[in-house]
Amino acid sequence: MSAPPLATGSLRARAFPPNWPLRIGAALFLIYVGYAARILDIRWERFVQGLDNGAKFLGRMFPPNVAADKMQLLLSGMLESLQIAIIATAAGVLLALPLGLFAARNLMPLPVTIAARGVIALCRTFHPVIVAILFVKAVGFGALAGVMALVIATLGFIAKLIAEAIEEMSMKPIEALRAAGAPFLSVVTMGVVPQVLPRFIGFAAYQLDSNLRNSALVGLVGGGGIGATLFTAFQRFDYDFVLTIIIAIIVTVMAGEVLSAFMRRIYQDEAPSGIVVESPAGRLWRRFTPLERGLRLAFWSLAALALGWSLQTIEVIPEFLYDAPEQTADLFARMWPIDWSYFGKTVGEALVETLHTATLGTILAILLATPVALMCARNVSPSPWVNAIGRFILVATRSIHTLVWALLFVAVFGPGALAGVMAVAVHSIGFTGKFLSEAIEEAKAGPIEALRAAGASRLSVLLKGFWPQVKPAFLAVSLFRWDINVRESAVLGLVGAGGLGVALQASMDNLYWDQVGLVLLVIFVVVVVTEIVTTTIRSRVI
Amino acid sequence: MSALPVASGHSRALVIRNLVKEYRPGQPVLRDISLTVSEPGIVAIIGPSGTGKSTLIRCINRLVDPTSGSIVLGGTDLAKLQGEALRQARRRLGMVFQEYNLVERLTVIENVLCGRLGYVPVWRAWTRRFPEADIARAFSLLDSVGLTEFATRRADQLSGGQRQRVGIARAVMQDPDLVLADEPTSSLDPKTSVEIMELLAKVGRERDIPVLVNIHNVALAKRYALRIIGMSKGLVVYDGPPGGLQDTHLAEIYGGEGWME
Ligand SMILES: Nc1ncnc2c1ncn2[C@@H]1O[C@H](COP(=O)(O)OP(=O)(O)OP(=O)(O)O)[C@@H](O)[C@H]1O
Ligand SMILES: [Mg+2]
Repeated sequence: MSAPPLATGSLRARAFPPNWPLRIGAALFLIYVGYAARILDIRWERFVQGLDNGAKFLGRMFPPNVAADKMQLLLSGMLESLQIAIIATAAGVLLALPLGLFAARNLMPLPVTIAARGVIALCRTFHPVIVAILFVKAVGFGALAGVMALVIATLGFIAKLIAEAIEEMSMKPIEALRAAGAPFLSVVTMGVVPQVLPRFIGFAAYQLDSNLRNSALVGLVGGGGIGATLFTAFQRFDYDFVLTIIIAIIVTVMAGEVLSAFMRRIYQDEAPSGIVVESPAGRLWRRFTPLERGLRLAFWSLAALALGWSLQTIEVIPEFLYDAPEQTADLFARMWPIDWSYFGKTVGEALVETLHTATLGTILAILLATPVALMCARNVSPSPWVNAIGRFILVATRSIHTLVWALLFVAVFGPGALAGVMAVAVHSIGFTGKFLSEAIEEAKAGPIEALRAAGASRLSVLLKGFWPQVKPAFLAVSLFRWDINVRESAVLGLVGAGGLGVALQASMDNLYWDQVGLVLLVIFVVVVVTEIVTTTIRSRVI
Repeated sequence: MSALPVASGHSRALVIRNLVKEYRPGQPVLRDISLTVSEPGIVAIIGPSGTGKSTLIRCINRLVDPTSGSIVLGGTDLAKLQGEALRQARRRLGMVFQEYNLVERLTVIENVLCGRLGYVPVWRAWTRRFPEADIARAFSLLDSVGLTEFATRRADQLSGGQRQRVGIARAVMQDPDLVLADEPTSSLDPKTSVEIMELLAKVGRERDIPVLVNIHNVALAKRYALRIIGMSKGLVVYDGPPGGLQDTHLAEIYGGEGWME
């Protein structure tokens, strides 16, 4: 069968005409990367020299230090971090339940949701490290400040997700229960909870391992736990012990992930359907089988035990706790009036540096994460070994917080934004790669098989089969990560990796609280603007 | 139209007087509805889309707030109730929805027990420790709607017809004085629709209560209803036995005649 000739006189259609917008976009992109790199003083020589340093640095890290006294330090640090994470998760999640409910616009009157959303926004704006710094100033060094900072972070994160989950649920059953005359709390119990529970369990489990990671973070600024141990090791140039600690953190976080996956499986997959029992009064229904009841009882007892143990060991000095609101208020009072002149001197430049660090870091992260994501995706790399290696890279990069990576890269590249960009990029590999690989695995097999059947090369299968399908997810993840990275970049300076954090550290060291006030205000504005920008782009483009 | 029956002494009588509903001021959806429903069995409300049938039904149990008029059931004016008193009154009004409105992730038995939420304290709902009498009755209701085997199945595993049976069982579980059904068969196939109407008629008969049903299928309405209320443009234009519903009435209710061929 021969195709009829194309209408004569028409231009010859090309299968893939040059895409000018794409080319111009790519050129602008390259120009930006070059420009930003110059601003941040990222040069090839510095990079090469850094690699040289890095080799020496690695040499000093190996073999990891496992001397008995160090192990003692490690153990007590890890236990304290674990306790911080447990208390913060329990308290944060408990507080987030009502807060998230109050913020749900489909259940609550408008003024209540506005107030609740205000609280959530406040909790989310500042990086936990900044919150930790403020609490350390308010209640003194130690685990309590760390716990409070992580409670705030958990509260903001979980309450927002709960509110979103509630707003996305179906209102139909809610209407039916209201029509049956159910009181509000019964509507919540039987109508709202069943609908949002699976997602809620997911967040709570995620938050536990996120807090495990973050508890290493708050320690860097005096919030106790393994972070404090790590920071001390860095200051003493005990790099072999640093490696031990890092390995321990990765292992713990991995264990945490396994645990939370287990918890999700128990609670999330199938809602219990209960059993029917015959009794003299007629048939009865019990929500749980004896086995389910036992498992739940065991779970809750374990959770209660863990919480009790944590509360007992973490020193919560009541006087300090009661004093905290007053101390915090006093702190803010000292920031007023704000020293605006500091902006022209230092903060403006630091702000530009922070934004470029976040952007370059995100770009680099995407470049690094794409091959790892391809390794992880089972429909692209069929070898389980390759999958496993990819997954390990994702977990390892993600387990170590940006700030800890920044400490490492400052040691390698010296202080400055280069270390910051590297830290942002490497830490983001885990997050970006995880979501990318999931998007790739969700790609429909049909078009892929069609291309393979037509004998397309591997590269063309990727470009013409997978890419169109994962593009929306790719853009969404990049944008989301950029948003996070702006927040992270604002605090990297606390460990010398450039940006607003340097200005924050300097003014705090000098006790110039009016300057601290300015930096915090700038960070606040940047975070809010970033969030507005990303949500607008998201709603327009994706 | 015939005058409103004077003898509304029946304690379960629903007496609607001069009901007006405006979603937007000045644009009434229900213009001036007066109705008395006291006889047990199905009362079908028919009328074109957008004429206010759902609005009428939802005004009765106050899922929608009426603009003016009164809705008296068993001596209380539902239109004036608020808060706790409204909840108490709603318990006596069972509602069946077009899209069933079940809690998908709960079991069938839990969905039926939801009909008791107006009666039991919150802690019982939370722990699912409903009174044994309620549970036993939920089971016998499941027997009577033919879903005995499905008690511990999750609601999202049921077919449309099965879900609607659960919806009806939930409404009956409330011990209602009146059942409201807003297009209970519109999402179902013809055979299942008949079964559901059959079931609603049985509920009316056995419990001796009126069942107010919005329905688009005139044939089904004529077959099961003891009384038909025809609405058009927010007004009642026919109110009488199915036998009296002539093509001229249908033309008045739905407008035009070509569609009847
Ligand atoms: N919540 C609301 N806000 C504003 N207008 C509404 C609302 N609900 C219904 N309306 C309007 O009121 C009118 C009557 O709607 P209603 O749903 O009561 O009609 P209906 O007779 O049930 O129609 P159908 O047979 O299609 O279900 C329509 O014009 C509709 O647009
Ligand atoms: Mg309707």
